Amino acid sequence: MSAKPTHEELLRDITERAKALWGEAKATEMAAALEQTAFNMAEIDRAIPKRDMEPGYYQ
Amino acid sequence: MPEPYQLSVAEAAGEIRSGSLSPVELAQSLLGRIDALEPSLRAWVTIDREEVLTEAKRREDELGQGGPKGPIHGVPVGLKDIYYTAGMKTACGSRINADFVPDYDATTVSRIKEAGGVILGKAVTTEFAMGDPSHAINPWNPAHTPGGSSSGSSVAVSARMCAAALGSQTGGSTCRPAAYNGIVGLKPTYGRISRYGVVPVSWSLDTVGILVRTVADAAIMLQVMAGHDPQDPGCPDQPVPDYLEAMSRQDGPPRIGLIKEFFYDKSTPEVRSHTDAAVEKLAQAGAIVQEISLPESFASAHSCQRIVSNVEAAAYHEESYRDRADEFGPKARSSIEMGMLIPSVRYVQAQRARRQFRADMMAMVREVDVVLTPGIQAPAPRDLSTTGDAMFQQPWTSSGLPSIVVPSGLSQDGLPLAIQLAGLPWDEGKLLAAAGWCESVLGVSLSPPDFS
Repeated sequence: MSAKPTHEELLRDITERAKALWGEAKATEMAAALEQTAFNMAEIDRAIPKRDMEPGYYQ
Repeated sequence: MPEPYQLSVAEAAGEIRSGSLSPVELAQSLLGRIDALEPSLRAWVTIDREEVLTEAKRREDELGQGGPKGPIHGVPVGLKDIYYTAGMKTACGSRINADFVPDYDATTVSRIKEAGGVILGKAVTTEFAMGDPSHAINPWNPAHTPGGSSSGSSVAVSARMCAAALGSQTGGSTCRPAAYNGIVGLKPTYGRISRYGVVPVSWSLDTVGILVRTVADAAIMLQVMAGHDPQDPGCPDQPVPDYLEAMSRQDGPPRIGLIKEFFYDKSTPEVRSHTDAAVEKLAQAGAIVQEISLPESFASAHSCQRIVSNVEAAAYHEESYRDRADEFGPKARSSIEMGMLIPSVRYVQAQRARRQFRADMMAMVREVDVVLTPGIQAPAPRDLSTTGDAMFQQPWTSSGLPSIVVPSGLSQDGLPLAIQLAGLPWDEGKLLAAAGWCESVLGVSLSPPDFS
């Protein structure tokens, strides 16, 4: 993967994880949800704040 | 003279304090109302009539012995069935928790009791407060979803089966069903009310929600429950002001920041023109309305909410999923499974982006007293396979800012519409004051016609 993973890379990564955990058939069944999740992750990657910003778990 | 079941929290508590209504009469009236409507609306999971009447009698006796214990003395309150109640089932709308009986009360439940409230029963929730619709019926039209996840609580308050009920919000689960059912929904600041003893969806998003029919009732219920709880790591020691007093201090119309960007784009033409009309009415009454822009970080807010929610839900349900995956509903199961697949780095990046988003949203709100958006993008959908879309609520949940929906009228199809207001963290006093002012100017109080 490059420094900022693309949507396609993120989708491939979680699809492979799904296959490893639950098998090919289930991963195919989950395609729409996997697509949505990859989209969400890619969108966040475009908005990551400066490197010194800590997460605020309990704001 | 209205029937006791029609009274708001403030009215019922006032009549009980003055001696013109007894807690037992009120409880009996509400139980009778539930008996009459429950077959049609299916809002409740558990009601222990004997316990309700015993508690109401105890409240009656206490009045004679030392006066009211607190601001809601003798007033019954409904609980979404994810709140721990000692000795009473907390099934979370699930097969997995179907027989779970907690041995302690949630902090919120304890505080309601300490304030003199009576626990009326447990209201229907979607499974584990996630996305699979519940069987509760929208009292405005049974073909339309009542929303979720706090579906039973919203239906019960709308249909006058109780004056107040607790919900919760991880995405839009308090304010969206409130709007769909024509009532007031308050999602306070993240951490304002303890979540100790509330079955979680997502620890860093979950917020206790309040479902009532007036803004003043939201203030009263918030007063009862707000404040530090060492049992909840997300509930800090922040001062709790007098919310009713804050409302009464509203000395003029508020400065309102209207957010059209995104919220108007996603709304139906009917909702857009309805919101414009409501804003025009507020402006004519003296509100200073200015359009404001969303921060750049808003673009990823919904994605952050989904990633964080799924991962934390997966963490909470991991053990149950391993043993009993087939017992989860399809949407709950899908959320958990997605959460298991999301890499840890992506989760942390979502949390970092959320922190930036929160800071940006606070800067935006500081320009005015409150911001205003449509409460929902369309009336409750005619689709019982969904609980509707939480996209108008998620930004406030994700940023932790307090928000409230207030009924603003009816659609052409006779379904409720609402405005949504949001304010700065810990400043619910200002938010409630502005919401109360808007409520008074709009003059809208809704009651489902078939159940009036």
